[in-house]
Amino acid sequence: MKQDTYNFFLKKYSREKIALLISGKASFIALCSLIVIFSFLAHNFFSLSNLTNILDLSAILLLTATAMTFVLMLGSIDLSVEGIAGLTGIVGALMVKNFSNSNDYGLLSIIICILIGAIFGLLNGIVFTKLKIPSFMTTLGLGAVATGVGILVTRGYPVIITDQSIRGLALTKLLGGVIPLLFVIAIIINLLIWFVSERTILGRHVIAIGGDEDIVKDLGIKIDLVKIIVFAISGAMFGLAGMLLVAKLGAGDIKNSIGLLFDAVAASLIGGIAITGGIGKIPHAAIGAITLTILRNGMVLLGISPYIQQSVVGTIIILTVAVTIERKKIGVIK
Amino acid sequence: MKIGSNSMDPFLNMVNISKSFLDVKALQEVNLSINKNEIVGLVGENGAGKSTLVKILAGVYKADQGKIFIDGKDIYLNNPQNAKKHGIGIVFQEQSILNNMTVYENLFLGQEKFFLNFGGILSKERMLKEACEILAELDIDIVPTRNANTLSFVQREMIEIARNVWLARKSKAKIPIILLDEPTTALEQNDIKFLFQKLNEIKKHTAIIFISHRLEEIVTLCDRVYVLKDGKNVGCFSKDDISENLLRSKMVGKELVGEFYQSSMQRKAGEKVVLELKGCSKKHAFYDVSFQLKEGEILSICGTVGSGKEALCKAIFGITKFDSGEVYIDGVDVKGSINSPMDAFNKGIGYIPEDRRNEGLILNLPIFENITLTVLKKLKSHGMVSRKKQFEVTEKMVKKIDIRSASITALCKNLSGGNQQKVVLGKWLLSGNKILVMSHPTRGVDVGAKQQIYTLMREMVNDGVSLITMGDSFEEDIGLANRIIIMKDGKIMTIIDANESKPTSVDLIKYIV
Amino acid sequence: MKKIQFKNSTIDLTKLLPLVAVITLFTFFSLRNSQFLGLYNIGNILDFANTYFIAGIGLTFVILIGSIDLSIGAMISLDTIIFIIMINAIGFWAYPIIIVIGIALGLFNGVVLMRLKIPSFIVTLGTSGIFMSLALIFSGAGPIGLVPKQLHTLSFLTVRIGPFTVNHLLGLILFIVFQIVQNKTFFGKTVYAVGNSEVTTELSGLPIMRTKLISFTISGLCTALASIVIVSIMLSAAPSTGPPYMLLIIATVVVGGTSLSGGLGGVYNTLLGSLLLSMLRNGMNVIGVDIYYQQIIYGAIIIAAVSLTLDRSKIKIVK
Repeated sequence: MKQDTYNFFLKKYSREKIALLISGKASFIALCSLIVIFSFLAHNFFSLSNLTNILDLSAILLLTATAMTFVLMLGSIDLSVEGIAGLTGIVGALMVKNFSNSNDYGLLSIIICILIGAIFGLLNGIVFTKLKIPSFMTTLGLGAVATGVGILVTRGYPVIITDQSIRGLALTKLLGGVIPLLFVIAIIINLLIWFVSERTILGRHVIAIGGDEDIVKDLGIKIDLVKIIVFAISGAMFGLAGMLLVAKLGAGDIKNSIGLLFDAVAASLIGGIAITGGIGKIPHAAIGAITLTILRNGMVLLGISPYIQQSVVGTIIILTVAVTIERKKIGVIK
Repeated sequence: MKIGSNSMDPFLNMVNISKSFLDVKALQEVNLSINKNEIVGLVGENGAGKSTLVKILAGVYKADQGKIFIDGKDIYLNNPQNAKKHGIGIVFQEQSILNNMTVYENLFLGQEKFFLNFGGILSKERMLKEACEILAELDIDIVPTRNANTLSFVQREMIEIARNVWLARKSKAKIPIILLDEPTTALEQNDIKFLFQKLNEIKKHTAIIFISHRLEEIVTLCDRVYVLKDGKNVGCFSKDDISENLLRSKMVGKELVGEFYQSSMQRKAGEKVVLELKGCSKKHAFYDVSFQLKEGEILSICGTVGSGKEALCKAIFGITKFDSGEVYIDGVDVKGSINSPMDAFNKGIGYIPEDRRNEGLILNLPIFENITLTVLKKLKSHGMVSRKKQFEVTEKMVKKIDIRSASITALCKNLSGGNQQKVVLGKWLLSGNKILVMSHPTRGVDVGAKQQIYTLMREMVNDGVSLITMGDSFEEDIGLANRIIIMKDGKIMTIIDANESKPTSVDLIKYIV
Repeated sequence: MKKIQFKNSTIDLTKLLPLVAVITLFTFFSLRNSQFLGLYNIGNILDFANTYFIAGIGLTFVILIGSIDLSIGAMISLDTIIFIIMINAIGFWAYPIIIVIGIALGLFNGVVLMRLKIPSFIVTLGTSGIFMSLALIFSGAGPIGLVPKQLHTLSFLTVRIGPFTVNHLLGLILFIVFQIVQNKTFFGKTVYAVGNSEVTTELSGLPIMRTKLISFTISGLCTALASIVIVSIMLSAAPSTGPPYMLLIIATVVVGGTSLSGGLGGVYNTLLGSLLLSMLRNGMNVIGVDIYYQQIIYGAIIIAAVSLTLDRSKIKIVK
């Protein structure tokens, strides 16, 4: 009879067990397998220059995926990445040395971008918690507003920058030209957020809320405040991503941020974050981002049409969610 | 009524507590007191008010009347946080342990502020240390770094108790008061023994209120026992005076007059077997259930928490699936073809859920839409659902079962509990389905409407419908039934025939507790 | 509080408010600039409203049952591209084929939702990637123009009588058909029941999965029909055609008064919403509001509309 009870538990909580196991380990295994597979199939995959290329390509994704993961741990989602990053990209481009005006604020622009992102994130959080509009709708709407403001500022025209130090950010490679600076920045931020999630009250409460908000409600935890702060943080990171994109591409353009949303969500899910919240750790976002980048890079090297890549990623999103979702938590699937 | 042997003022004193929900009086002037080093039991039938009383103490509900004194001081409990500050903690059946965190994180969930180093950084070392201390003090042998989803039920309960004791200490409460709401329902025998052992140790520094429907446990464990019936105190007994028999008789009280349940309308059931279950089981719910439902019969299923009757009824209606066993409808084997409520519906089964507001009605839709939900397909003219026919059919039904409302276009959310329930019944009456499973058909309904519903049920079976009911009390189960199935811990204990003479509640309780 | 008792009748605010808004907006713009009332301008308004409306009908049913379809943008890209390729190749046969394809895409969404039992916004986020992929593949990532000799297969749709075109007639027909479906059919009744209380509806023996499946299929169908209209006006198609419509169509449905929480609103509301949005767009141009403010206004309006119509008692925990 006792065996029965234990079996009951194994079954009842096995989904969590599987998710806990998968998140991290499985995605790491997937990452390694992909590296091995592509090394065999595409002879120029395992070269130093390609690996550097991969790290370079994955940097910004790592940043946005970290932010997205943090929000996903709450059990919510932030669809405003493209809007915020697009807006801050333009504002940032206008503030550094560029062809359109005589500003030259240099690195201060980065701070401003982060601030703008944080403000939009705050708005997201406040509308979400006070008006009680589901996060996907809130962030969709506010993301659109951000896009709108971005288009407004330059009438849609790109702003080409001339500031060499900013451009240098994106071109610098450390350790003898192997590891891009952008990647290092992204990793540092990832570790920072990881620290927050593990070692601060905010972080523990995020994981608790994602685990079971009903239980947490009765324990005196300031749920609304936690949510607002998380969205502000993710907004700030999106803001930074926008500026870094400008550094990379050499111009601020509202179109820069197209595609960020899809990939950020996909990278988080591939990393093993459960869409229902509470399961997974921040570093998994890094694994997910690198895995996704390798996937795309590998497909390119193999000559697979870029158009098919979207299908592949889309299918992966659906399948990873199907596996990691905790249906009991959602009740009625809408 | 003898109070316990403590002659001094009790540490916790609840005086004249009353609470109503809408039109139902859950508690009426109830008293309860407890002291340190005491385990006080709280017993009563389903709906007697035990959970409500304890939730008031925990700050989940606010009492309408009455006072609560702790250590002589009149305290105001209006939310769970407040209650916790006074050292009161509750452990529910549905536990509050997060599965995605470790034991020590669960222990201090919400109270992390006590473990901060400079700079606002959480010190896991201190959390671990303090976790080890409290677990050692309560002699709970669980490694704090384990993930909560690896714990067994009883271990999770121990963690919750530890959490409450720790928090009470931190709040500088004199005596932690631990409320346990049906803690043994899902436990195995040796886990229960273990739990009782722990409780006896823990009670030395705390006061414990223990709710259970298993009288043998109450008698074993508790120093004193309060008995509630229909929201009122009917007795408080000390350990020396308690026996299971005494508790039983107090819980059940005086028998209600049979006419309330319209027993005079009761007819003997037909011979045809409309539904038969053979050896049906569902893991962790019920085992080897076999019975027959005859045409025109009212079959009551009786049992307290953990009996499995609710799960059984849900499986019959296809909300969940049987793991094994056979099901026959009108003699035809149907198991395997009932995989959803829609399937059950199409096979002629109906289900009146306990939660009528969220599961029985669509509150935002008017009466006529709700009532015709089951027969939309039959109300077509020229291929379209005809509003005229919907109205006609609704008017007839409203008249027949006396649904009191200004108009049939009124939204259901504005009706009283009794009228709402009548709409649900009307919906199933219209459906024409002959096997209806009713879960607490008169819960939250005023007396007048209750009687009308009983009359309606009698009329239905006289028209050939067969009913399986789970009532709010033994009396209701007895009053209504042709036969009574008694379930305990997932098994059928016995089936009592009530056609000739009705058993008494005490007869029933023998099998249940 | 969506319905108020006034004397002996119930006034349905969700039907009244959007109507008041339409009339108010119309009056406002007319007074600001008389050009607003010009025949050409009215025609322009109707054109856009018609497109938003037709695509919005499908989304209305999806939102009524409480789900969401984030793939309509990608579906429009894919549908317009396939349609124009087919028109170029086989003329009139393109019409029935695109309708079948539209239905198939919607069905695909519904089946994935049913089988995998994951939230609709994830399903449609994923399928939008797949559809966009196909759009990119079929179009070679570039725009496709109409072959001139096939112009006659499309031109009849844009023939104008006054401010009206044949496309508008299509919109009108669809309005009538789907109003009937919504209010009078078994399916329509079930949609409202599911949207208001899925549990009760399931426990009353009604077919939940089938209803959801049909709703998503209608979404696919309507997107295909809207794509026909779009191609008839633009005479070209490209992968970038679709995405801008996503926000606009969601706005159309939501601003019209259909509640995201389900069970409230309907086709009539979407009609009003499409008029509102089209008038807003057109009116802002006519009175000279910067086109770049418009995106902001759309985003803000969506949030406001959702906030007003959401039934929070239904959602215990907002994620």
